[in-house]
Amino acid sequence: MLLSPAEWQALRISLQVSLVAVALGLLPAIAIAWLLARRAFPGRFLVQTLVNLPLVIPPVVTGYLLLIALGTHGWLGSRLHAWLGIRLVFDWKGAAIASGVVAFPLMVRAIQVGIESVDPRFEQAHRTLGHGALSTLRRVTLPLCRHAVIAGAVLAFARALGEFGATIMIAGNIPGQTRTIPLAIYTALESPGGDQQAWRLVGISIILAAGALAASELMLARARRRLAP
Amino acid sequence: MTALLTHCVHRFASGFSLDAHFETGPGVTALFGPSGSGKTSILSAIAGLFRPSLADIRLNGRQLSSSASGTWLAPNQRAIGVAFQEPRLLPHLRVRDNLRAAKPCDPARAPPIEVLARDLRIDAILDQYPATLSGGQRQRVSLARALLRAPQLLLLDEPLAALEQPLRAHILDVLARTIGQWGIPALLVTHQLDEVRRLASRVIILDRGTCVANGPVDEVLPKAAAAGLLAQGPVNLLHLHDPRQDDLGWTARLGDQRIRIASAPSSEGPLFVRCLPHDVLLATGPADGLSARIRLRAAVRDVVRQANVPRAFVLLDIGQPLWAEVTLDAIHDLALAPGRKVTCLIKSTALEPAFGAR
Repeated sequence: MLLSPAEWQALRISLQVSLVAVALGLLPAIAIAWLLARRAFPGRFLVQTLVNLPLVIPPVVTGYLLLIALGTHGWLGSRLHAWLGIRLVFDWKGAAIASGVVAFPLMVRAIQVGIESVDPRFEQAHRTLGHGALSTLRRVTLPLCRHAVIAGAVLAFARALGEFGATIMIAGNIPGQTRTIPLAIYTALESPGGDQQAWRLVGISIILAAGALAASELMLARARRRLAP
Repeated sequence: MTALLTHCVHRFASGFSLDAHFETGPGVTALFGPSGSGKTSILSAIAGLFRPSLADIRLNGRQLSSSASGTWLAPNQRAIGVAFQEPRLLPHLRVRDNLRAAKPCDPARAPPIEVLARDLRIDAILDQYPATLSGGQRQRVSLARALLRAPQLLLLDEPLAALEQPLRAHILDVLARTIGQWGIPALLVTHQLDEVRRLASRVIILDRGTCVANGPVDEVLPKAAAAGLLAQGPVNLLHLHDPRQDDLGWTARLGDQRIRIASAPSSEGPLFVRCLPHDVLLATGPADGLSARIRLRAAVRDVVRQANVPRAFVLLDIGQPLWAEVTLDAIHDLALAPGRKVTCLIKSTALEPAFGAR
């Protein structure tokens, strides 16, 4: 399938935005998933609700709230710009953050379920061998639920690939800079005679998502074989 | 010298109450108790895996838990080695890596992995994953992991239940030697006489969350046996003294009479013989002209039905408890009731070496 330079750019930006979105969200997602799965603390319900909020509110609303916070006049955006010279609005980095926020609950939920499925007695045994909570998370809990971590990351990656509403709010639709595949499909369908281009991009979207899922299934199967009793 | 002081109070959601208080010195203390008596909860509290609502736990003078001061050390800060009832090997790590995961509390004392693996006969399986091991192999790996910690206290929850003889005897030797060399305290949950015999110097009996007896093996073990806490159900353990050899073999003193024993006493620990409740006869009057050699005066403490079998629980005048299996007719004819004086008759041939005898 031959792609035009603009389509290649959309593909590259989509991959870059989605990968960065997953990479940025992974560690916080693991931390919050562990907290929700293994610790009872006051305000747990509030944290659970806040984490899941992006699942149920319209992505455009998420994007708008991000724009308020991260815009050049926003409370966080102005500081980032003043101190580090980082500008997130109308930039692929802003798109990555927007995609990351929208995909975050999927990652947390998958990893939380995975951690809950790990028999806590293995973690207890590891603690009695002289290891702290963080070491036990790293050496026992996460390896034993790596399938869930992979599944969560793949789900988040696929969700970030498809992100539209929040991305367009904060990063706009700038060709070669912030135009991801969904934005390129939207633009193509808005343009006269853009159907063919839209179909090619739809094909790429499906191939990317299916490829990611297949890769995660493969890794899951290997992990299951390894842990089979 | 008190090495471990434990006081735990907790009321579980199920209604079960734990209120256990005991002190132990260096060496192995066997922890006996029926299922659900709180043995595992106590080990978990000492290991720092379960936080009772009230706890005061000290190891060699160091406070591990204290409700009064709010002290609660994490499990990794307690210098305790634990061999769990279910071995809990980390399934994603090979045996060698499971062993390497144990961080020694005292590196100078920790045995090298290869040496300990050879001792516990797991050196051939070091590169295998836990899923491929038998129950006995897993238990030995779990035990090795606890020993590699070179801890200040060992908690052993039925650590050898899946092992068959003669391997079991060998592992007991390794364990006894190691604990002896280190001079550390250990708590051993078990129902096996041979484990108590080889390892323990003291016995604690737990019942419904409370510590009901705590003392030397020869004093407390007959109570545990009579309470049916050993693997073979209620048995009588008779504590013998002063073994001597004559032309016909060995004899030992039971109360004020000498009885013949089938095998030579070993030098390890107190000397016990075992007899089953159905080998004990009770007489309320003179029992002359009988072949039974062993005659012990006693008073009936209780008459009960255990698993639908009527039994009389008597306390011998020499201070030891004894179960006798009786029929309902005998209970009626002999008027067996608490306080009734009886003579217990046992055939010498019904006695089996329990431990302390080879």
